[in-house]
Amino acid sequence: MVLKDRLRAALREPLVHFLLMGFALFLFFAWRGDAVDPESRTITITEEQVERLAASWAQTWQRPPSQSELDGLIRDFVKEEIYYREGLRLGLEQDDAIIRRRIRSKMEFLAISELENEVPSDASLQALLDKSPQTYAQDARYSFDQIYLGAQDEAAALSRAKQILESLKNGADWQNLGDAISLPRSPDNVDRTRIASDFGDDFAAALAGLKAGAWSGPVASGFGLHLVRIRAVQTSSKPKLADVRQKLENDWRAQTVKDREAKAYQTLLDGYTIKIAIP
Amino acid sequence: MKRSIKSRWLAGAALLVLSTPAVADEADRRQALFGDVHVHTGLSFDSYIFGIRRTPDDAYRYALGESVRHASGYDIQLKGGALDFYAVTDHSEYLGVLPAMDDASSPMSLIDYAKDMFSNVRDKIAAAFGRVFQSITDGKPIPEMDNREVVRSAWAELNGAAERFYKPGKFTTFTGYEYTSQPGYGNLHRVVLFKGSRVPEQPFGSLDSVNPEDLWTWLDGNRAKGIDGIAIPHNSNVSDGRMFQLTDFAGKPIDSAYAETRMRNEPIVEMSQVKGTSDTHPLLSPNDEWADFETYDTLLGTDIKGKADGSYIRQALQRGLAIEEKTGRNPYQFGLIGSSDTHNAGGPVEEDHYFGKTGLNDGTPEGRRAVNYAGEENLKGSNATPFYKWSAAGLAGVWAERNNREDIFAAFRRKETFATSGPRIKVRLFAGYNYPAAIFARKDFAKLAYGQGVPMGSNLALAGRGAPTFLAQAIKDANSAGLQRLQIIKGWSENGQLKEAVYDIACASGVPDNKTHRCPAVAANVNTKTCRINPKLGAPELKIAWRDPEFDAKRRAFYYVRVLENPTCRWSTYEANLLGKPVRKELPLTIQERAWSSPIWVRG
Repeated sequence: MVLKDRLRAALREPLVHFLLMGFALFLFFAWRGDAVDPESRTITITEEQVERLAASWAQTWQRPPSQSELDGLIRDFVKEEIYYREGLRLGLEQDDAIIRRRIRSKMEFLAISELENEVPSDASLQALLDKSPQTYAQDARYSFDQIYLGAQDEAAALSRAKQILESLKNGADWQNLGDAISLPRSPDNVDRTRIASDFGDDFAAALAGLKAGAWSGPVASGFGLHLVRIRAVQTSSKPKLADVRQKLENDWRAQTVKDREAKAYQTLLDGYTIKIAIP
Repeated sequence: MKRSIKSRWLAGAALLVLSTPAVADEADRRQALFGDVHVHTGLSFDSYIFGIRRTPDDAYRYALGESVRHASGYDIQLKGGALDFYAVTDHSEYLGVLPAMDDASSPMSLIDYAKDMFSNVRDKIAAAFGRVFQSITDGKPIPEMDNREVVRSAWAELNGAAERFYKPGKFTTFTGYEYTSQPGYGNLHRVVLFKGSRVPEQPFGSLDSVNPEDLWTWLDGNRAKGIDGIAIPHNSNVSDGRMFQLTDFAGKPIDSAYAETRMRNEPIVEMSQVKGTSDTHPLLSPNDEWADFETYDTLLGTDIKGKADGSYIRQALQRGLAIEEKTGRNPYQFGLIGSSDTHNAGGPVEEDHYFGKTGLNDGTPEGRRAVNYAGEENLKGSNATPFYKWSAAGLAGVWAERNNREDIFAAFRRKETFATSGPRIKVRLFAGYNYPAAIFARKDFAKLAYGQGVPMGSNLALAGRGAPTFLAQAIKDANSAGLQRLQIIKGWSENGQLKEAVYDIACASGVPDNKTHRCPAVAANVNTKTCRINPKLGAPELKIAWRDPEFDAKRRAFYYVRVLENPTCRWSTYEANLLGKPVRKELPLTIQERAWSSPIWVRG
């Protein structure tokens, strides 16, 4: 086969056509002196976009736009698009704190946007519960009797406590002893949080160290000193899923938001090499 | 078939028994419950502009004692543990609209100035706030922002959160919102609460009408459809004299129909919150040494001082009696609560734990300005708001049988409520006859107190029986300072002249003087450098059976309890101590926390 025939055959190859076309385009743009993708100079408004513009107008104004209003919306959209592209060309987005912040929050939102309608499975809630049962355990509950010794003078209250303990040993009725105050004398099966709110944090904390069945104290509350007899303690038991479902679901949602954000960020971060020069 | 109908009927009857409201003899089992029914989240236009992104769920978690993140980047948590009841009450105007404008997937984000609304620069925040605030003040919607579809979906979110967190017997929530009417910057805001889970399709806001009488018409209409709700006026202190006028909104003298409508819809008002206390003003109560308590009279969003006349609760109670003399009906016969009005999803009720109310505005010491900052004299308009005058406050108290919607709402309607400036002080007042001498020591105290008299919030008919006995009682917050004195505040009208008297009726030590009706002077108990208090000073509880020494059977009068704690450091003092700088001159170093009962009205 002579060279001329080979050339003729090669010219029939589509690949060669493509390469030649590319070369021609290169020449054309080299001559035009512009290196930017020509697509960026074309703005195509699709039917869907027009419909979307009309819909958002209708949502705000509660009626469809007229033809001239729609034309105005399209003109405005084109204007915005042109400014947007030109702005990007000038690199205006680079140093604008507000744009950076909004883009960041949109990226973060993308990571969690599906979460709202998701319902966690029983298994994932159970796993959360098993991980830290103490967080979901019902407070310890106490039943106890208390004798109020007053607030004014600690020394006097202490000697009073001795006297009262003595007369209790001799069989006195505890209900007739001590000072009157509008606090429950014999709270029944009350949880620790409630006791802290009614008697004070210190008092609630002190109950845990008292022996059941006997009078002990004095124990300090937000009101003064007390003698206390624990009747029954129901310590915190492992809670059932059904009892704490709402709290688990709340925590699952809060935790999943955090996790998904972190994961999405990590995926992106892995694709970057970060170099930090610390002055 | 027959059988199944019968059993269904029986089940229905059983249900009816279970849901029957508390019967009379259960009254003596009423307990004090604490809550906050005035709370905003990021769904409120102003909160969102102030950088707050917390949700109604976050708010309820805060109420349950969990920590949530403040817009300024730290965690906030209630010190005294979970509250008993709570309501998220975002502004209905532009409800949820700001979050929608900030959401790229919402068409509302296409509004051309949308991005100017979300800044963390002070001046831009003020400008964005001003734009929306002005529209609300004028009652004229910004058309492109007044998107009711968005409002309805945010309203459904509020209702959903309230339903999710409601645990009858343990934690009560209400669906509600804030009606934000403020014509001419005079604050006529109301918190609107609904009793049950059935609520109107969308809230009625000030963009529908700035006239609260139209709100009442709307509430009446809903009630006729079985949806019971109430409106709770707040911040009368910055109403510029408009909250408790002698006339209706149009300027006509109040008549009995107005009074009836108002009382049907507004049984309680808010006494104490972050933006000041509405009890009274030194100008109105010159003989009350404790009148100047956390008073705040700068109209919202401005640097204009409002009028005292018509702006305070004690005067309104007096005016109510004067109007009643003329028309036969009292338009201002309400009970009292406190709440926070926090915009951070959680309220700052503790002085040593103050974090402001409006997100980035007052979330930092520089924003609050408890100490002087360079250049602050150049601040203008809403930027000049004296956030340092705002207060760590307040809470709502009710006496209710059980912690559920029915019983708490019934307490609101009965006005068996009380207000505190933050601490969980329990206060109670009865008036009646033939109470036994040592009634407070008796185990059947409540049974006797209710049985032979009436609780706070009620009318007591004298029926020729002479001066009644008041049973007044207050018990301190278990985790706060002791009580200093228990007082009765009495108000009446003499031929249209408004009168008041303040009596100390029980003291931490000693007894009140017969003539001056004041407790003996007491030593200071707080060191303002360290903010330590002497816990031995002050009473754990104050209670007394009291009779009015100047009782006049011919006169109608109201009586309410005010109980004062011993002084403690104000939040601004804690903050200045931390900063190592002096507190700005116009602020007191200490605060006397307090609680107020609802009044009892005595009539011949």
